[in-house]
Amino acid sequence: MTDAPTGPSVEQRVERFRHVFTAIEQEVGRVIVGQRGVLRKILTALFAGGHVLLESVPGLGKTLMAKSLSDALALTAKRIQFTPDLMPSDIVGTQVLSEGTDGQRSFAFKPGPVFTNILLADEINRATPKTQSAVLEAMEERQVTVFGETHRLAPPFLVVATQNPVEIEGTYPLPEAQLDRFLFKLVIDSPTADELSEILDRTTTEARHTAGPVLAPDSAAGDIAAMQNLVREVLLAPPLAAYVARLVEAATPGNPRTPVAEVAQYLRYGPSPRGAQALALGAKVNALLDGRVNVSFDDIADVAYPALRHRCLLNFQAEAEGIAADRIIDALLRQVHTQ
Amino acid sequence: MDSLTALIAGAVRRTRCQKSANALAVFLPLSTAAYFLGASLSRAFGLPVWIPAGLAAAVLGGLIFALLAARRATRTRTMASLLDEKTDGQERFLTYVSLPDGAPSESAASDFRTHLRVQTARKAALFVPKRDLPFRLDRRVPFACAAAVLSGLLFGFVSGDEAADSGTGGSPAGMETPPLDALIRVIEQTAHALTQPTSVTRTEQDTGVIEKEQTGHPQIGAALRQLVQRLESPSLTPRQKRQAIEETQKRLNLPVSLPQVLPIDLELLGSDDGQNGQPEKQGGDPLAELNQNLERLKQALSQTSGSEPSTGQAERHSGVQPESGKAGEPEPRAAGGGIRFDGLPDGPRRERADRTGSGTPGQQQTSRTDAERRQAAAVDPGKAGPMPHRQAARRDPTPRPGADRRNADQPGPSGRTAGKSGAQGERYYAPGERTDGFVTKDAGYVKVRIPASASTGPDRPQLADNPDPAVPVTPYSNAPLAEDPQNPNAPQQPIPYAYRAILTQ
Repeated sequence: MTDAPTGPSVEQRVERFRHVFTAIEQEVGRVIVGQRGVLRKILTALFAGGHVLLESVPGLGKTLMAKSLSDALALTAKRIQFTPDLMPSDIVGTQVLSEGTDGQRSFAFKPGPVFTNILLADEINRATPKTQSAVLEAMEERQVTVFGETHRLAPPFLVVATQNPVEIEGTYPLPEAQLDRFLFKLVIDSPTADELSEILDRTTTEARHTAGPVLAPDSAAGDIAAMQNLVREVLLAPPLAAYVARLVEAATPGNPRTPVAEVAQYLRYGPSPRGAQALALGAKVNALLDGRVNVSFDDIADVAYPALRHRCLLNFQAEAEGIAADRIIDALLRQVHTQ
Repeated sequence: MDSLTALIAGAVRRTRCQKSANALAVFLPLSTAAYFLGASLSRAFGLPVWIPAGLAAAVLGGLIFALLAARRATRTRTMASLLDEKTDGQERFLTYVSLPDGAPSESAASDFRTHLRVQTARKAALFVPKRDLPFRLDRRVPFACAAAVLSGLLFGFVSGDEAADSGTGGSPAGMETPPLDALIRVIEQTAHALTQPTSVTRTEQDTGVIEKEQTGHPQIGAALRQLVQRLESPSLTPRQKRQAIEETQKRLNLPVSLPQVLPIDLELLGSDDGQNGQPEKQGGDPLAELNQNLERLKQALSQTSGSEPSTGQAERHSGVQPESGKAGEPEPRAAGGGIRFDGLPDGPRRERADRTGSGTPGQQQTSRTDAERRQAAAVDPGKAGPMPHRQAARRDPTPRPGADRRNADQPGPSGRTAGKSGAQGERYYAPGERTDGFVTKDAGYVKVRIPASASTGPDRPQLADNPDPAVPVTPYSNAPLAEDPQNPNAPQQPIPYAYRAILTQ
C-alpha cells in the first residue's frame, strides 16, 4: 500500500493563483495605461472559463489589450475583423480540396481563426447574424462543426469581442442568445488626463513596451486549466448561493415577488441561469484573489454589474428615458437583502 | 466540539440571554402595568374582575412571542453572520457553519474545508465576546418600568379613594353604591329644602327629616345648612362668601358643584369689580350654564313659593290677583345678595298672573301648605330645562283640576306639555324641537333663536294662542341676529366686475 502523491496544499495553490494573476496584471499594465478594472475582469472571465464583450469607442486599446494578454499568458491569439460580408467559413474554417502525394484528391479541413486560445472578435456587431451565430457553438461548446465533422478547440479558449456603441448604422445587434454566452460585458471608459499623458509618453517615443510571458509557453495551457479548476473548488455557502438566486430571481420582470420596482418598469427580459453562474464563478475568482477559499457577499456584488448588465434587456421605456442597466443592478443590490 | 463551534455556540448563548433578559425587562413591567391599569379601570368603572388578568395575560403573550423571536434571531447562521461582521470575516464563519456536516468524500473539498477552518480560527482569535457583544439595555425598559410605577400609583390612588369612600360612611364593601344621579338628586332636594323661605326651626326640622329619611348623609346636610347660615349673614363680603362656598365644596368633596345645587346668587362668583358671570377660577361657559340653571331654579322657586303668590302654577290654581305692595320689588331673603329665593321682578309675574288668572272659580285654591310649596320648589335644576315650572307642577302630587284641564285641552306633541303658563309669547314645542334647539331631518340640530324684539321689550308683539300644537306660532328664524358678528372668512358672492366701480362709489 503506497501513499497517494501529495500535491501542493490549498494554501499554496491559492497563493500561486494570486501570484500568477497579479503578475499578468502587472505585465499587461506595462503596455496598457489604466483600465486595471477591465483587465482584472478579463482575467477573471478567463479563469472562470467565460468570454468577454468589450464595449467602447474606438481607440481605447481593446485590440492592444487582447494582444498584450496573449503575450503575457504565452498563448496564441488571433483577430477577426467582423464585416458585413464576413462568412461563417471565414471564422470556423472550411473543407478544401487537396491533392495527396499519390495524386489522390480529397477534402481536407482548413481551420479558421477560431482555432486559437484567445480570439479577438473586433466589432462583432458588424457581421450578419448568420456569421455571428457561427461563433455561438465555439463559445459555448468549445468546438466547431464543419461539413458534419466536429473539431474541438484547444483549451483555454477566450473570446474577447468588441463593439462600438456609437456607430450603429449598418450593424446587427447581437441576439440575446449570443449576448448570454458572454460571461461579462465590460465598458471601457475614456482615459483620464494623467492616463492620456502616460499613453502619449509610451506610444509616441522610441521606447516600445511589450508584455513578456508570465507563464512558460509549454505549460501555459496546463497552468491556466489548473487555475480554472481551482476556481471551481472555492466554497460557496448555501446562504450565498441563495443570495445569488434571489438576485437573479428579483431581476425577472414577470416575477410578482420582486422587491425592485424598476425591474417591472424598465426590463424586458431578465438574466438567465447563466447569469447566476457568472455571478458565482466571478465571485469565486474574487475570493481567491483575496486569499480566501470561500465566497463573500462583497465578491458577488463586485461582479454583479459586468455579469448582469448585458443580461438585463431594457424595454422601450427605459431606452426612451435613458435608463441604463447598471441602474437596475444598483437597485437590485440595494433592495435584495443578504439574509 | 472544536473551538470554533464552541465559540459560535457561546456567542449564540450570550446573545440569546441578552435578548431574553431585555424581553423580560420590557414585558414583565408592562404586564404589571397592564394588571394595575386593568385593576384601576375595573374598580373605577365596575368592569369585570377578569379584565386585569386578561390584560396581563395578553402582555405575557407578547413576552412569549418576544422570547421566540429572540430564539429565532440567535440561530447559528445569524450569529455566524454577526461574528463575520465583528471580525471582518468575509463570510468565513457563515460558510463554516452553513456547509453540510457530512464532509464530501473528495479530498480537495475536504482540504478546502480544513483551510477554511484554519482561516476562520485566525479570525476567531480577534473576537472578544465581552467587547464585541456587550450587554445593552433595551431602550424600552425605562419606559416599561415607568409605566409599571405609574400604573401602581394609579391603582393605589383608586384604592385609596375607595377606602376613603367606605370609611366616610359610604356603602359597605361588597354592596352596590347608589347611582350618582340619585345622590345628586337627594343633595339638591336637601339644598332646596334648606333654602325654603320658612322659619329656621321649621327648615332644620325638615332638613333633619330629609337627612334621616332620604339622604343618609347627615354631615352633608349639616354642612349645607351651615353654609346657608353663613351666606345669610349680611356682614360677610362677597369674597368671604365665595371663600365659604369653596371651603364647603372642598370639605364635602361632592361630585357636584355647590352653585349647582344651592340657589346662590351668581354675583358672588363674579369679580370684585362688579363683572357678573366672570368667575375668578372658572371658565365662562360653565358659569353661563350655571347662571341659566340658577335663573330657572329661581323661576321655579318663585312660582312654587308660598310667599310669592304671583308665580305660575300657584297663581293659575289660585286665581288670586297679586298684591301691588308685594309686587313692587324682588324680595331677597337676606341682605347682601347671599341667597335669593326669587329673583324675578314682579312685572312679568304680574303679567302672567293677569293672563292666568281666569281659572274656574270652583276649582281655585286660595292657599297652599308650606310642605306643598317646599315639595313643589324641590326642582332639579339639572333637568329643569327652560320651563322648570312644568316639572315643578309634575312633582306636585296635589291634583289640580284647572291645570289638568288645560293640559287636556292643549296637549303638547308626543305627550309633552306646552308650558303655556300664561304668557302669550309661550307656545308648544314643535315636533323635533328641544329646549335649546331644533332637530331637523337633515341638519340634525338647528339652533332656533328668537329675535330679541319678539321676546322682550315693552312693544313686543301680542301672540295669539296656538290652535295647532304641532305648529308653533311664535316667530323664529335661523337667520343670525343683528348683533352676531359677521364671519370675515365666510365665502361671499363675488361681485361682477361691471358693478364693482359702482359699488365702491
